[in-house]
Formats: sequence, structure tokens, C-alpha cells
Amino acid sequence: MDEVKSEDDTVDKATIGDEDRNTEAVKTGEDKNNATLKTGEDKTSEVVKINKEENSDAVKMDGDKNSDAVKVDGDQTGGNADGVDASAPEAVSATEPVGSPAVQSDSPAARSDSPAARKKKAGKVDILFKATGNAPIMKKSKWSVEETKPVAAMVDFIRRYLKTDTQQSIFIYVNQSFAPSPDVALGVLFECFGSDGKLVLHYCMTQAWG
Amino acid sequence: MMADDKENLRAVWDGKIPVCFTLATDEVFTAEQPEPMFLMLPRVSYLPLVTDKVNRHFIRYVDPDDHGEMWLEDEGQPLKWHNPIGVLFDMAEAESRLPWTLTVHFQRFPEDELFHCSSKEVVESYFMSMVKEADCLKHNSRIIGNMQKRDHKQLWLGLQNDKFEQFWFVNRKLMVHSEGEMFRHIPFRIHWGDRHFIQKLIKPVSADGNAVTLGDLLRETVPEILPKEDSDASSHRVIIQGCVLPPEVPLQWLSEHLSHPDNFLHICVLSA
Repeated sequence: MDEVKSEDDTVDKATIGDEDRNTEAVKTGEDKNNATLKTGEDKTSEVVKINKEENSDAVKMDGDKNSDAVKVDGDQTGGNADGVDASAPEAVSATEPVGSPAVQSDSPAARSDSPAARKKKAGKVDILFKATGNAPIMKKSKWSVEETKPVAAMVDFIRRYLKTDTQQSIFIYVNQSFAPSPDVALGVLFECFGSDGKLVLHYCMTQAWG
Repeated sequence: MMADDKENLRAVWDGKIPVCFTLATDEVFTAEQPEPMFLMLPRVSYLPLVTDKVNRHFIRYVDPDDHGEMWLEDEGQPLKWHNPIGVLFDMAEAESRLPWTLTVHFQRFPEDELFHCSSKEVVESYFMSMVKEADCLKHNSRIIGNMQKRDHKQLWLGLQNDKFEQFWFVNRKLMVHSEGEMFRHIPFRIHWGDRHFIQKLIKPVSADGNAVTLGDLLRETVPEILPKEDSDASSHRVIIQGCVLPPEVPLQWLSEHLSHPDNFLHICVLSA
């Protein structure tokens, strides 16, 4: 599976921009949920701004950080060779310390690094969708999504991607244990529940761990 | 549970807010004007659980052919039912204008700001998800996962029916930690202005073995609200369950005693 995905990933990276634009397009249109998302975004973008200010040090050091990152990149991909996530193009995300809750919470240094580390990816987080129950599988399961997007946006996204009925319920779970609040930003979930540089979201059409 | 602990928990549970409900004037359909309605609402509950009476009282005065789901507004701000009432109240900074006067609406549901809440089951499912997320942070979902379905039900019914004993009989299991082994992380959300809440992984004990305090958490998550070194005056107030707390309070204690029933510590940041 992973092998296939990693090939896919290159495509992903290229198409994500498009997908986002599509999302925008839909958003300006019809439905209610999309409006929710828009306000959600507006609000979170403020948060992001603040984060930037507060981490002005980090911003200044960005250049350094990047070169560090490149170095780490090499190390990490080497270390990952036994393959948690075999996707080479995803190396950037795989190296981020943010991904591992353990690293993040144990050392303050790692923590203060994390917003800067994420900025390298221009405010995006990697999401891996996994189907549960008899939900159809998403052919492209790994996506890079803006961290300010709320969970509700992912429900819409899955619906559109799977071309399901707009009335079709989609349930999203984190850690196979709880359904995140629809208004929680993906960046928050990633930071609290992400691992190996990505956030795994299980989705299904009927309540699974309800 | 220690006796004084129980007193604390009881005091938090019993916190009430005096609220006056009025129907939006442009939604009054009948010739007769509705009387305002007064209720004491529990801080730890959710609006849809305690406003059935409000709905029944006001719905008689609106256009029977043109009304939808009830929603509430405070000075132009639609109230998000999925936050505990106490959090809504603290964020509205309404303690200076009691009773807290809310406007009842049955029309023009603010789709872009509120989630729909068609029944109490919606609240139940939201609430239980929060409890599960909290346990995921505290115990890696170990405790909630080992509970029976009927324990979950008891937790929910305890909250819904305002039964302290029933709720805490189950909830204390979610609060357990053995000596030397605190929660893995403290479930908290910082509410600040119109922004999305802030939530991060914070451990109750630092790497060098010291208790992590409220002050540490604020330094870590919202350093910009803390008083600058050259002045004592703080530009912001930090409120939990309506109280201003000293920064040296350990997070573990706060989490066990001042969390909402959803097992999250809801921290409100307001300008001073």
C-alpha cells in the first residue's frame, strides 16, 4: 500500500493546489456548510497571524531553520527507511518534530520549534484518510491541508471526493477513539494527535467509535 | 475523594447564572407581547438541555408558518450551544449586566456561525466525543475505553438531569491518577475573543519533575497576554469557571477540580 501511495504523493503535491481552488469555487457557491467554513477560516487566520508575531524570533531564523531541516531531512529519511511512511516526497513532513507528541511535549525546545517547523510547509498539515467499516476507500488518501481548516471542511471534502449524496453522513475519528469537534482546526488536531508527521483521520458512513 | 474535594466539585457543579430571555421583537407575530422569562441556568450545562421551557413559552408568539430551530443571541452574538453555558457567560463578560439578557430567535438561523442542534442526542454525541477526547489526552483512552455503555449513559444522564452524584460516580473514574503518575496531558481549551480556541499538548509535570502550573501553561500557549517585565499591570484577565486564579495553581489540580463535565479545562482570556 505504502509503495503505491508514495508514487501517488508526487501527484498529490501537484494537484492539491487545484483541489484547494476547487474548494474555494464551491465555497462561494451554494451551501450552508461552506459558509461555516469560511467564517471558521477567517477566525483562525487571526490565530495564525498571532502565532507568527509571537514567534518573530523563529521567523527571523527561518533561513537557518530551513537549512537545518534539510540536514535533518537526510537523517530522518534514513532512519525511516524501515518505513513508517515510505513516501519520499513527504520527507519534509516526516521530519517535523511537531508530528510526534512525545518529542513535542517532553522538550520545551522541540515545542518552541514546532510553529516554525510547520511554517516551512506554509501552514499546511499532512492528513492521511483511512476508510472504516464499509466506507469506500479514497484512492488518494494522503492530502496536505491548510492547518486553519476546521474538521467540518474535511467532511465536505470527503463527500465531494467520494461523490456521495450531500445528505450522506460522514463520521470522522481521531485515534480511532473520538470524533473531533467540527469546529476544531486541523492544525490543533495535528499538534495534539498527529504522529510521524501526519494526522490520521478515519472516516466512515455510520458511527464507529460513537 | 476527599471531603473538601467533594465540596469544591459540588460548588462548581452548582454554579448558576441568572438569565432573562426575551423574544426578538421583529419575530413577535401575535398581537399580545410575550412576557420575558427568567431562569437560573447551570454553568456546567449546555443551552439545549435547559431551554425547553423557553422554547415552549415563546413559540406561541411567533409565526406558526414561518419558524425554525430556536437559537439564542447575546448583543448581536449568536451563542454557540456546543460550549458550556459558563464558558459562554464568561466570554460574554456579562457579570456586570445581570441578569444576562438573551434574545430568543426562531428565524434566520445563523448557518455560518452555529451548528444545528435538532435534538438532545446531538448534544449527547458532542458531549461524549469531548469526554473521549479528554480521556485520550489523559489516559490514552484507557479508561473511557474500558467503561461499559451504561457508564457512558450514566455520565450523560447525570449531566442532562443535573444529578451531581450520578455524574460523579462515573466521572471520578476518569479523574483517577495514581501517586506519581499524573494525567499524560491536561485537556484544556483556551477561548480568546472570536478566535478559534487554542489547544496544545501540555503535561502536568515538567521534565525536571516539578508540577506545571497555570502560569506555565499561559506562558507556553499565550505569552502575549502576560504582563510585560517592566510593568505589573496585566492587559488581560484569565478566568476559569468564573474565577480568577493565581498562576501558581498546579494544572493537575485544576484539571481535576475545575474542569467542565466534558473533562476539559475551559480557560477564558478577556481583556482587562
